[in-house]
This record gives sequence, C-alpha cells and structure tokens, in this order.
Amino acid sequence: MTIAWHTASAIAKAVNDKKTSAAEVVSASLERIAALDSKTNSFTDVLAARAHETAAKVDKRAARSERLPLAGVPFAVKNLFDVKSIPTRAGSKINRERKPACADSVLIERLEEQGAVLVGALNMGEYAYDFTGENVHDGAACNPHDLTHMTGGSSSGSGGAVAAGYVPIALGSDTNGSIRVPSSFCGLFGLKPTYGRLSRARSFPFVGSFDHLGPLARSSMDLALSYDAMQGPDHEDPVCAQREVELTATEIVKGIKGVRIAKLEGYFSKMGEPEAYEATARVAKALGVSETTELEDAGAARASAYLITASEGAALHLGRLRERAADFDPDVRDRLIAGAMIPATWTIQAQKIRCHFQAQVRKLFERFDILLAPATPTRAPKIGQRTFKLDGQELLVRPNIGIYTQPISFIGLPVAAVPVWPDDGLPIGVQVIAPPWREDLALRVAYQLERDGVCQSKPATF
Amino acid sequence: MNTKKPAAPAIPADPAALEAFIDAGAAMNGLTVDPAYREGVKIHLNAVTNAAKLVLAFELEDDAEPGPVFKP
Repeated sequence: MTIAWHTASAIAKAVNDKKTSAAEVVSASLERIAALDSKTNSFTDVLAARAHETAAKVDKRAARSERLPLAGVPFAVKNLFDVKSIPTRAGSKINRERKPACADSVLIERLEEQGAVLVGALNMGEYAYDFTGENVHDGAACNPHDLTHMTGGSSSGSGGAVAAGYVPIALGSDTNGSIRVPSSFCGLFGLKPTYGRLSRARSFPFVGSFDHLGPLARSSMDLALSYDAMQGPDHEDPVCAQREVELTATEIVKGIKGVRIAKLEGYFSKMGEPEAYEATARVAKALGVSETTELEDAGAARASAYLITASEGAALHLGRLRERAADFDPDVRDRLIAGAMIPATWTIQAQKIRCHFQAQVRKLFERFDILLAPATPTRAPKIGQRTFKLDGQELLVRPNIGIYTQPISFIGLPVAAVPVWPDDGLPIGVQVIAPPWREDLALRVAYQLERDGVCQSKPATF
Repeated sequence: MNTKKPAAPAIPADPAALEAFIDAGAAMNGLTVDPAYREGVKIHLNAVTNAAKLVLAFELEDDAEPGPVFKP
C-alpha cells in the first residue's frame, strides 16, 4: 500500500475495514523515511522497533473488530515531547545528555490509545526559540516543496515530515507561532488550540505563559481527528483546563452558515509581502466575507509577547547559560542572554497588556465568530537567509517571521492555519482565528475551505 | 481607582548605556558574555528594547491585572 499521501482518516478506515493492516502502513511509512529523509532532515530519531511493536498491538485490536479512530495511523512528534527510552533533546546539544524519558508524553499516550503509531521524533529549532527550522546541532530541516527553502520553525521537522508524506500527522508546539509558521511554509493545515486545552505534561517547556501543543496535517479532518483524541483534562499539567472532551470531527462537516467572519486589517495589512494579503483576501472572498475589522493594540500585544518570551525563556535556561553557553546554538544563546537582562518592570507591564488586550478582543468576538489574518509575512525564505525586507525595512528573519502569529497566541486564541497556493511557487498560510474554546468553529471554516478547493495540501516531489 | 498612569519615559537609545547595561546585567545574572557573543547579544537587546518602548509607552489603569493570576 502506498500511503504517502493518504490522510489519517483514510488509513484508519482501511485498517478498520481490514483492507490493510497497521503493520503494512507503518512499514511503508518507515521505508519512505529511510529512503528520503536524508534530503529533508525531518527526523532526529526513527523508532522502527517500537513502531512495529505498536502496529502489531493495533492489528490485534483490529482483529477483535475494535474500531479505532486512528487505527494504524503513523505519526511523529517534535523532539521536545518525552518519548519513552530516548532523551528529550528539545533541539539542543545539552539536553541529549539527559536520562532517557521514562514515559511518553500524555498526548502520545492518548493518540496511541486510539490506534495511532509513533514512528519517531522530529527535528526542531533549539529549545523552540526559532521560526526558521535551522539547527546548528542537527542541521536545517528542508522544505519538501523546495529543499533550498526553510520549513519554518520551531516545529520544523513536524512541517517537513507531513509535507514529505512520511506521516499524515505530526505534533508540534506553538509558543509564538511554531505550529502556524511551518504550516504556512510547508502548505499544511495546523491547529493551535486554545491555551490550556491540550495537556503539556511530559514535554519540554519554553515559555509557560504561552506554550501550546497541537497537530499539523494535510487535511482539516485529520486535525480534528487527532485533536479529538488528545483532548480532556489532565492533572499533570496545571494549565490544562478542566473541560470535558468537545468532539469536533462530527461538527466540522456542518458548514459555516451563520458563522460571522471578518478579515483583520490594520496591523495585519502591514509589514507583509503582497502574497500574504492576497492569500487572506482569497480565503475571505471564498467565504463571502466583506467585513473587515482591526485588533487595536496588536502591535503592543506582539511587543509584550516578545518581552515575556525572552524573559521567561532566559529564566528557564539561566543555569545552562551560566555553565554551558558555548554548547547552545549561537542564534538562540545570544537571544536568551539578552532576555536575561530584561527588567521585571517591563515584563509585568507586558503581562498587564495581556489582560487588557484579551478584554478588547473579547468585545470583538461579540460581533464576529471568526477573524482571518495572514499566518506569515512571506512565503518560506531560503535556508540561511538572515534578513528580509518588510515594508521597505531590512529586518532579521528569525525574530520577525512571527509578527502575525504572536499577538494571537499572546492571548491563547485557537487558530487553524490553512494553506493557500498563490501561484506555481511555494504556499503561504492564513490564520482562521476563533474565540477561546471554539476550535470547532475554526475547524469548520478550514474544512469548508478545503472542501471548496480554496485551501489544500499538495504532494511534494523532491 | 481608574486613573490612567502617565506612560513611562522612553528608554534612552544611548549605545554607551546599552554596553553598560550588558555588563551590569551579565554580572547580576552571573553570566559571562564572551566577546564573541557580545555583538549578537547587543542586536537582540536592541530588539528587546525596541519592543519595551512600545510596551512601556502603553497607558494602563492602576488597577490593571497582570496575565497570570494566582489562584489559591
């Protein structure tokens, strides 16, 4: 069975209907990784023995006619998720000296319970402080749609592995945009759920105030299926909400009648290249959206997220910066050292702006259910590119790819990133932003756009 | 009390002040800034300072709550 471009839902159906087996699907996935990943550099750990063992267990369950929503679906995780028996490196050199994790992350456990099969851990920007997908220790992840371009980061291997057809679903983390950016650059659907929706237990943190985990996939239904499997309260993560599972896979097919949608302008129609605006306009047009609105203070929100990230990130790594500065990726180290010097007064003011901005956006959601905005200011830059020009200003690539994603994760709103192909070149994503706890709405819009052929993932040839 | 506080004064864009800030910040954090790192740190501290200008100029009420609220 050639599974490279099959969706997770098609694979699960085929396994449940006994048209194929989990063993067969997982073998095909592992073979494709072995044959091609030297070009894309998505994986840091391929767990073949474990994957075969898990697949055999799934096939036993299928033989008992147990129907599992993710039966035999291969998936992989950013290497900041704990995976039993390997050290959680989080993209760093330093962390790979840690003891192997003694248990899987909660989200891996939940996916495997529903029949999915973990095949490996994925490349990422060091300690998740990255939007490029470059990593001095493990090498840059390459974009399967053009190997000379970035995947985006920091969930770089997650974007690469799904776009390359190794797995239909990968998990990433998103602190300031690290699921939405690789989704945009690699032409994928990505879901950053509401802050606190999915458990972060047994994953390596970056900025506790903003850390989210979520899936990337080549279809909106696969986002919904995997997201549904991962929901639910978890006492191990104090931020994880005590909310019952709110299933979306059955909801998203219901259409968008009555959903009030507006396109964001102001802050979100500055500092981007024309294709970022064109992609958003194309999505808005397809949805019949004529209303536009603004997120007042989005600039201050982004600046606040920037400060809190630098400061909390530095606090997390201060000991390592004191003792082992030379072992960091230089691009990450210098940002973290700068972050260590931020006065507390600055970050406390930034946290106050967070509440202010949240209240302001809450009011906007009285008028609208969904807000549309570009996911990134440009398509994927070239690997190694240090600067780009936004609105005539020469800016550093690494800290500025997230200008449109940062104000949104700052207040924890759920977002589905959807892929648009402006021409024959690389894709670019659009953010479909929903009110807190309404992932279902964002996914409904994503599903509609995919069904109507406006947004889709395309097979990569490389 | 709902009195708007005046915006904090802008951070001086003085290169010498930034150099002194790096030295003091490194010392207080127990960090050694290797000369090879210094330029990178300066670039990022500049970016952070630019962000802080926007943040500190933002007018908030005295009773504005910070994001993380401790719940006993």
